[in-house]
Amino acid sequence: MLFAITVLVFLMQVLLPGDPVDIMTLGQPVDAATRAGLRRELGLDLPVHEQYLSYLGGLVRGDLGRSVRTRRPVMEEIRTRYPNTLRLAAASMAIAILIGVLTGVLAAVYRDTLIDLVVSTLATLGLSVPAFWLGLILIFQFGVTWQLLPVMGFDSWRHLILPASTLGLILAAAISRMVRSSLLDVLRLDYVRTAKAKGLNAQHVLWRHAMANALIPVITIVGLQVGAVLGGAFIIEVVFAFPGIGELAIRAIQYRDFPLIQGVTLVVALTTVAANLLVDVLYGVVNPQIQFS
Amino acid sequence: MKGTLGRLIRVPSFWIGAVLVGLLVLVALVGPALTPGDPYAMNVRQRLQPPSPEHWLGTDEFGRDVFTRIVHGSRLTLRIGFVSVGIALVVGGLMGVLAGFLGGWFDVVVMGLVDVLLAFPAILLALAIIAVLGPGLTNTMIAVGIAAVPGFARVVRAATLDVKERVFVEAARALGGSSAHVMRRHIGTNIVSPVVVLVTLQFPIALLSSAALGFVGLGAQPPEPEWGAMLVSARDYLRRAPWLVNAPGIAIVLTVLGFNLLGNALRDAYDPTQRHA
Repeated sequence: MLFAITVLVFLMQVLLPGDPVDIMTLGQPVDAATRAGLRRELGLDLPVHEQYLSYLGGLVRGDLGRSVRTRRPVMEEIRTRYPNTLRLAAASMAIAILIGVLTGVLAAVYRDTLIDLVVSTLATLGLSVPAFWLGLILIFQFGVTWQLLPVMGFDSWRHLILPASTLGLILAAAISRMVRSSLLDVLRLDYVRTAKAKGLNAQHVLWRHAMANALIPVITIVGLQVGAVLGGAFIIEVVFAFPGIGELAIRAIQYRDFPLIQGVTLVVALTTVAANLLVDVLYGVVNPQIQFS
Repeated sequence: MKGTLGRLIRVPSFWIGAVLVGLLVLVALVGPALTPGDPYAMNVRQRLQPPSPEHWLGTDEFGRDVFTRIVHGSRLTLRIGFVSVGIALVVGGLMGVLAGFLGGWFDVVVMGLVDVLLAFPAILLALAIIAVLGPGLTNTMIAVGIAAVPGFARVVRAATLDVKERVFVEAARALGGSSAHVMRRHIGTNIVSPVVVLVTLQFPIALLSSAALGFVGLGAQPPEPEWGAMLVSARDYLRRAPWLVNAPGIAIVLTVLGFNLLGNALRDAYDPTQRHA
């Protein structure tokens, strides 16, 4: 898996149309000697497999090359921004789980009532709203009209509230639906009826007995959301001018800054793989039927 | 099939979805002919006008009529949907049928690649492809389409494997039908229902991704009246012209909602055991 990722990320550079030297010199004509010098500096004069080996060698030393535009090391650019994106993703995920589970349980317990209808309608709408548009609406309400919260940059935790809420609300929609339907499936089962029949408190049955089993499909969907939260963060960071790697990547694509693009792609790919692994482990903790060999 | 249709027409979400999607198609077909304005015509003296009888949805920072641009944008929306879903369907569908039908090393290689790609969210795959191809509307459609290929390949392969073991396929082969014939006639026609569901549910995903890419400046480029790209100026003029936020956003929501409702209704009707709330 890791090998496949490094090959794919490396191939992005080979496949890139146009000469990277032209991009670096911003299309200005340069003499042949300068051109050859730049090619040597970037390692473009070597055959492809040697380029890959030197790329891998750089990776091992933590060297991802230099940004074509700012000339700063890619590693440094990513290191200053990566923690911000992680904070945004974690905060969004927390909001999504909190709202998703609460509304899902409410809808299941009060099924076929007004509460259920409202929750289900909002969840369906939530799956149809573009996150960046919700972000604009929240900026307008909380930042412009009521002037309650900052809408740009990341100087304090208050800057996190709007972007994390935007992403969290969107992701909560899918979680809420999943919690509702899986809890409804479980509530029908015999063991829940038995627990109620032996006189256990309804709250206890719901949260201890039913939720224990309803959580398993919920963790699946939350695991899938880990990817979605990263993808969503990329767009949301642009909306809120949030200094994370998403905003960095999108600017890098606009400027065709390929060392930076490759670096971010690699970091994001590794993050996704790590997150998927974490979800698998969590799965084992919640579901004792799964054994790790 | 009759039972499926019967279930379908009793679901209200099917009707709401069908009406919303039908409305979009109608606007795309006849809208531009009925709105006399030019979606690209600038008028500096009319810039940033609030909604009025003359400009129903106001004007943008170049004095262009927002309503006209929304109507013309509906064509772009449909084109983005058809082209990107078409790419995913053709490429992913072929990969899936071949992998499922042929099996062996081809199956192992294709599905191995699909599994690696499925580990990443589609929007990030699309971004990586745009990083290679460069920004723009055409590249966005290609990128969003390719990003959906792994999902299509997996579903089509599973459906193919399911059909492959049925008696009529065995009979067709026993009667001497060639592989190509069996794939086209017998397998192709029998995996239509899961594919229809998949296609309908891919539309909203493709539209949301393309709009997001348009918004961050990597998709449709100005002055194209793409709804996502139209929201860029909405952000820049949020204080002076808040009406610019509403129209493109609501247009996207209604379209995506329509396809979502339609797709969910189709899925529930084709597969009553997998009823999602």
